[in-house]
Amino acid sequence: MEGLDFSIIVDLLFSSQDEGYVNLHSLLLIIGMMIIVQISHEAGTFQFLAIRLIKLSRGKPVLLLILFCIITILISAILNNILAVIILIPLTITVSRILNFNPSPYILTQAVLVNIGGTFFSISSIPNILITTYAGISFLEFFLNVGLISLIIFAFTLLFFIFLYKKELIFPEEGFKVLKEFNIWNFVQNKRLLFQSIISIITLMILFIFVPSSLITSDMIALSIAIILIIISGLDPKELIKKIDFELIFYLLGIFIISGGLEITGIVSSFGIILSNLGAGNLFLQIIMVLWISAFLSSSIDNIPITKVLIPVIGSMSEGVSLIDKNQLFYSLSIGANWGDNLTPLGDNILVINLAEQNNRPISFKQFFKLGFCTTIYQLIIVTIYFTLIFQFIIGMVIIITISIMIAIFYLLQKYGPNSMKIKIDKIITKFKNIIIK
Amino acid sequence: MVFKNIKRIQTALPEVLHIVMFYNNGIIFQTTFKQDINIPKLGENIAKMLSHVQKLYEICNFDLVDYKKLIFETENISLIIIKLGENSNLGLFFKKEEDKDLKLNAIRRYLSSIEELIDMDKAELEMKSYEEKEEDYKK
Repeated sequence: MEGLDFSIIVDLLFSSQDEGYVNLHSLLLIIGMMIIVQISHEAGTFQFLAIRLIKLSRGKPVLLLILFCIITILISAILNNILAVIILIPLTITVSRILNFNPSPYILTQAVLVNIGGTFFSISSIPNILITTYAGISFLEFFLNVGLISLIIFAFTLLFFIFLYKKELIFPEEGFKVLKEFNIWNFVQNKRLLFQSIISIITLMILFIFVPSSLITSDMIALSIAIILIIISGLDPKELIKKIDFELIFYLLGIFIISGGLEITGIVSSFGIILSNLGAGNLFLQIIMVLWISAFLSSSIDNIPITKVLIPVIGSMSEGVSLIDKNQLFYSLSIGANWGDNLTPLGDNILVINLAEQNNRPISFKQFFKLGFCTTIYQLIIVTIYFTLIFQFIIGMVIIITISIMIAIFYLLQKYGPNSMKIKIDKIITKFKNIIIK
Repeated sequence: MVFKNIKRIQTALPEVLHIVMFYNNGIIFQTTFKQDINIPKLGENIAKMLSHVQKLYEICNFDLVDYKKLIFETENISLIIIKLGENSNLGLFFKKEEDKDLKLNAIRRYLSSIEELIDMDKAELEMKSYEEKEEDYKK
């Protein structure tokens, strides 16, 4: 009679006691975070902080681009990508109306960067929550291994965007005087709620960093703070619950059953063996493979099922590998699954196009595709170089030195070379920019 | 700049209790309401009023060319929402009075100057990019 009762369904949904109820822990963490984020959103925290930062730009276009990018990664490090763009895109378009500029470069860069913000913390995206809960990776460990890489890649991506858009970013200075009159408190329901939500997020981060998961698990921390916030905020819990994304929760439950089924039937372990053999048992090759495969898979399929299916695949690939090395595979999966989303403007990214259109500032599918694809490939190449540097130091150094020399030669020729050479290089740069952004 | 225009409107129409300058997405640029009311919800709901009426037009198969104003009149307070720019609007809360329509003409010039300040039209944007392209070609 084994398997004929409901235990197998319960095990698939919430995972078994032997596996430490990883699915249940993931679900509770997601629900806890959803409540905290929803209350903070109600309080207007994210819009308030965003406009406060934008005002620091003092009307300088490049500084405004940098600030918009920083705001994007900060917001998407706490919110999921969908909520982050729902907040950011209308806000950016409104600011563009006041400052009199074309918001397309800002919208496009934000849409690309939300995925980078998604790899900052273990709570920044659902794939991260699934990975860290399964692999028992702590908040701090994740930040030091993936968050810091994301920061480095963010800096490179920002430089790339400045290089691409510098000449496009022009707006009259008088617009900034009008922006100064924008009353940022109009985003805030009441000051008490704003401060409560900011304190809750800060407390949450501190607890995630300092409380070991062996003492209190992350989901319990998030859920406890969510409950305290509901009580002290005085908001109607019924109204809050209505705004919880139950569709996502049921979607996750469905994914848990499908991926559990694939695991039980042995498909996952076969896939793991194939990948292991393709990597010839070499950890470095396996990491690079996981990075690129997960990126390309999540470009056309949602990254949640991809991650959930690939987690046990990595588990079976890394049998006999040390814990530190095994975690490298998980970090690679997190980066690939989160960033690969931008290779195509499908899935969540369609929302960006819709939001821009709803606000009368349409951006083209083609424009988004070109920028998203090129930037993601650029980011994945940098991460590949980073992993090469860690696992194959000499090869990594050779690659970095070669690229640096090439950039230096290019720069020197453009700056001090003969005029004909300067013109040629300018033409190449303009052509390259036009391919991506025009 | 913008707030000066609000003050001028209030001077021109003393029966105006409050003014709300908002975008179609519910973001409020400026308002005379104090922070003791829920301003984000005010923005959200006033913007919803417009979108509901627009949906009503769709259901009735009427062509919505461009709305100019929306009036909601009650015994004590009346609300008039006037279209400013492409995506911006001005909500005026009045004490109950007669002849509002006539008096609205008095504030028209303030409206167009506010519109220029807080909302760049798509046509303007296209014109700007056209001019930029023209300059590029000249170079």
